[in-house]
Amino acid sequence: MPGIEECLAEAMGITGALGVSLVDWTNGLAIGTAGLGPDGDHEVGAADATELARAVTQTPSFADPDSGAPPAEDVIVTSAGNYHLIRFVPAAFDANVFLYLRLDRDHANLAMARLRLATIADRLVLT
Amino acid sequence: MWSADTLTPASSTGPYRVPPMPTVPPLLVASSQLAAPAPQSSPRPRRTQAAPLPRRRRSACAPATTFEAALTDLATEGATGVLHGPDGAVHLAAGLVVHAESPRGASVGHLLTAAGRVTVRAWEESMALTGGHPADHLLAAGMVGRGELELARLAATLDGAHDALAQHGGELRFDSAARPGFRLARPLSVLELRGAVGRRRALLDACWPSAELDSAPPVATGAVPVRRTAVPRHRRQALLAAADGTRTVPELARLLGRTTFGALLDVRQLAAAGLLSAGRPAVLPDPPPAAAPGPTPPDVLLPPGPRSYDSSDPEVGLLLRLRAALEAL
Repeated sequence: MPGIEECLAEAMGITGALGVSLVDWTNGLAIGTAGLGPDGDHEVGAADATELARAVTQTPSFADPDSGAPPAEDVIVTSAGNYHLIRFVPAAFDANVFLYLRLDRDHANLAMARLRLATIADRLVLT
Repeated sequence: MWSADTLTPASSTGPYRVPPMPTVPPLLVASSQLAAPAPQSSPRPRRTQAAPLPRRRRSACAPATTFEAALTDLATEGATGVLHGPDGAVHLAAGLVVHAESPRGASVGHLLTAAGRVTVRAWEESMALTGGHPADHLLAAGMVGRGELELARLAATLDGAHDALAQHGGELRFDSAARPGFRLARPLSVLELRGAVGRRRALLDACWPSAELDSAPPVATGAVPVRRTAVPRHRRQALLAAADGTRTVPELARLLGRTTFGALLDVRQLAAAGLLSAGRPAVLPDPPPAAAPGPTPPDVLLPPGPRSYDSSDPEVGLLLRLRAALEAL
């Protein structure tokens, strides 16, 4: 049963990982961080990722409210240099948190990173 | 084409910049973390120096209530103990927030037992065995994982702080001997806590800018939703089934195993869609039907004459509340 720090350390082991944080999208708080945030600032990165997560969880087109329990699974943003992966953590109560992983595009495998981040998010709330 | 907020050439590297999302009203942001949502290109400054305003630089961070002011003072002194108010308490350790609780907010026990992690009996046994500090015992017994326990502690702390920080004017009491049953693995500064709670309030108001249903028991209207909501179907159905006009939002949260904030967020979204309304109309109560010969107050938006609508109709009631909320903006 890993804690938050262990899960973040494991996420940093994903090939190409630059930085990862666990963020509460109701308030933008970075609960835990590892590696480097965008521009070296995890707080600003968490706040910006929160805007993205809210755009998904608060709009019916993206949240897919008729399908299942978590409002969404992933948000993926690609840019010339980076991949940004957001994975919502499926807690049994209203934890409302997601993992935000930034990857170096030259080294990362997006499909593999997505699967590994999903596993880590599940393990975070495993008993 | 230059957007209005890029006054310095150093930050204008692209021809077009997507405007910031309007989800957080800037007046309600209490922290520096979200206070600069303008999407600058790199390198981004933490604060722009371009427009000096005639106010103190940190005036947005000034405590808004007597509880916040007292808590800020105690944190500055590096105090350890608990600040009690009538509606909630915040625990400090060396000036950092380690826990918060309120009668309306969900507790760690509520969340873990409702999630099926711990039975109520096991919880009570653990509390009795450890003298009210069961975290280590729960972990050692394998009843809850460390990640989930920390998320529960944070959810309970933010739920409690939502009510505690809003207290203004009540009698406050500081107990330097008390220790909380749970404490956050990563304590928060008072500024972080106030920023987090302020952004949560802004999120609620962005969904539905009325606090009516925070205190009045919501009741399902049975109406056709006026718009789709992002609330997942099973949560929506459970909430609508439980909202019978007698349970308040904290009671609904307990019943459904949710945080009070989570229930409140869903309630406001469903209210915005017209699926929930206050059980007792609080905004525009009807005059008593028998004793209504006196003239009703003039309403500038309506022509003079008898009211042509029935405000007991839930859909009309929704429109009236919508109008009241829009006029209050």
